[in-house]
Amino acid sequence: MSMMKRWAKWTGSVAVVICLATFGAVWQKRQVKTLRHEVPSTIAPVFLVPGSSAGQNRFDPLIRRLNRGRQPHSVLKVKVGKNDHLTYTGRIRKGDRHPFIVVAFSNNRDGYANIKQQARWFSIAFRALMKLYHFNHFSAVGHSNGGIVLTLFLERYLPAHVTAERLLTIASPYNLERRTAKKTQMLKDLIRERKQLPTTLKVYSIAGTQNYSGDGTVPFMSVDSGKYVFQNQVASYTEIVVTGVATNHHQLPQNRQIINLINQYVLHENISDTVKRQNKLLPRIK
Amino acid sequence: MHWVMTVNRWWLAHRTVQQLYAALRQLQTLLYGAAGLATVNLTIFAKHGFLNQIFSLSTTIPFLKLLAPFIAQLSFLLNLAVLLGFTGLFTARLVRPQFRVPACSSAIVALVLLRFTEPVMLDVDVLQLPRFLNLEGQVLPSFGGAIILGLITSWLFNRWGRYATALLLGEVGLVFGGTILWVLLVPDWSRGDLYGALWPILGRHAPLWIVVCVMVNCFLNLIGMTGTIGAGNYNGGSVAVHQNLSYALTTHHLTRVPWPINLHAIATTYANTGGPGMLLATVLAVWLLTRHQAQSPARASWWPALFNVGAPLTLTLPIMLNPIMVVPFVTSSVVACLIPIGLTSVRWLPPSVYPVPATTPGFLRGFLATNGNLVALFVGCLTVVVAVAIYWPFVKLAVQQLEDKNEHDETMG
Repeated sequence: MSMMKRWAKWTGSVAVVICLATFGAVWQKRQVKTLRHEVPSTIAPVFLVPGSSAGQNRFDPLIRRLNRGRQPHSVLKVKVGKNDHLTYTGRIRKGDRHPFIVVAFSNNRDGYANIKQQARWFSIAFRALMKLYHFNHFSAVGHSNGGIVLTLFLERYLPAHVTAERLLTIASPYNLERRTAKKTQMLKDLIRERKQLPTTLKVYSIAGTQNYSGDGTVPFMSVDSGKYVFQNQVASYTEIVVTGVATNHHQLPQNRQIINLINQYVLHENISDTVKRQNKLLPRIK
Repeated sequence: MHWVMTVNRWWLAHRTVQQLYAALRQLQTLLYGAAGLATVNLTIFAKHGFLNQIFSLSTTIPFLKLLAPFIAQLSFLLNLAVLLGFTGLFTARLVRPQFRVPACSSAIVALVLLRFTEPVMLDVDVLQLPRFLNLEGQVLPSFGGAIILGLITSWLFNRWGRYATALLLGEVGLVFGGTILWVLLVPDWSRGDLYGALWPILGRHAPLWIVVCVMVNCFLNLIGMTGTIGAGNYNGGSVAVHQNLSYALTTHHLTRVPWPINLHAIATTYANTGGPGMLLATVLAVWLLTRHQAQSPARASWWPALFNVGAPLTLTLPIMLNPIMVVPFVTSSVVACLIPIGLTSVRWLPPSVYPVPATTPGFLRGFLATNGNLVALFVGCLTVVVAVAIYWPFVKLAVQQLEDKNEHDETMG
């Protein structure tokens, strides 16, 4: 009996220790995961999403100009196939805090159905890259329908613990090519799901105006419709109208003013403190 | 061991020491109760308690949050009662019978002022008082102060007892003034964490200074003087800890953290099992030596020691102010530091980076602080086994001494 009692005591003690170790390990894994999500990662990539009919090289001139005269940011290009397969070109340099990641799609056709599909593909690429590079905050630039893809992604697929910091859309047609105030189904859907947009996001919507009505492809009214999606939902929504040379829809990503705006608002580089203060990127001097 | 016994006999021959141990024995039952309640409070009811965290007790057990402040206050009051009771008993045993009431009152009031003036002056939140005073689990820190106050008060009253009122007012005034001066003149950063304050200079010699710091802290614990004065803060608030954590969280690995060897990663994680001095090892050694006895001193101590509340055994074996225990108390802590320092240096052991609750069982600390590394678990267990081996011969002597004392008391009784 005494022997039995002793064995029971020993077994009980070992069971308690194993139980504490197991539950402790499970709890700690959960804690560390939460902490990792709370602490900003050292890497905060800038996603570039081209518009319809454009491929993964669409932003090459823009990236070349952005990298001019400084330590260049590395570029990774990801192409998402129709079967969700990812093809990588280039690599992210070690120590590069803001690498460019261009995400393009095999099916890059226009139309709301395709855009919805592209947003889902973007989310597949995003999650794969997140696992690979362990980032938990990012900024994004979208040209034309690329901006819509990013907006849909932010509304529908953004992982809970990831912070979207800045979104810059270039001539993104929130109401497609419509030149009237009548809302398309896409705009209605975007407005309906706007509450899912992160409230800390800063949005810059750039419209090119080659003429009084638009950039030759996307009407200004359509770009302007973005306000129905973002205004009073995100941290700030700024519309910028660019005029002058190279304001044709296809030339906009190479437009010098827009490059300066990307530098200023997305990369936060080469900007004087005065301008930073004006744009609330630095606190005011009291 | 002969010299240890010689020193011990000389030490025990002092009347003051005999009265000190007698006062502690008188409080034994209350002390076990206070330490038990403190352990329950710190592990289950406290927000960051180990059991509360790993089993999500706050969310699964109804009314736990509601009960927590009451349990915390009860634990605080019970531990405070132990401390004040000890001060009164110790003073009463040393002072002449006719001066017992004013002398005990004077010592108790002075001790209250000694412990409470600092937090009141520093504007510490009332709810944080128990934690600040370190009274929830470790009643040990104030015992050094209580002993000194008891000695001074009894000496004063034995000599000038007829001026009892003047002595009472004088002692209380001096303690109050002295504490205020201490708070005003001694910088905050140097009081509890000298290592943390000097870390930017000591950083390069980390292993050496960790060992020195652990030795100093062990000595302070042995004389019951920790808390207000401390060579190093074991809570891990240092720059190295923050930099390591930040690195691990952003890079998702522990291999190249900036400070793999620091006080928190080594001493807190591996040399604090059961409390300072590897007290869990003492409990195990005492239990193995006395397990056949009906009243093993380890019986009431294993549960608090498992969660690093080492006060009961420290005071009842006793370990505090016991010459027999000085060598193993310091040596076991130093060895428990040297093992992980060596293994971390050769990169066999990943550094302990992630925070764990203060009441995490010592042998699991490394395992959890490395997010589940099995080598760290092995090292955590190894340090306990080595510490038991170091304690073994000394605990044998201490237990023998305790048994002799009990027999003597029974014969006299």
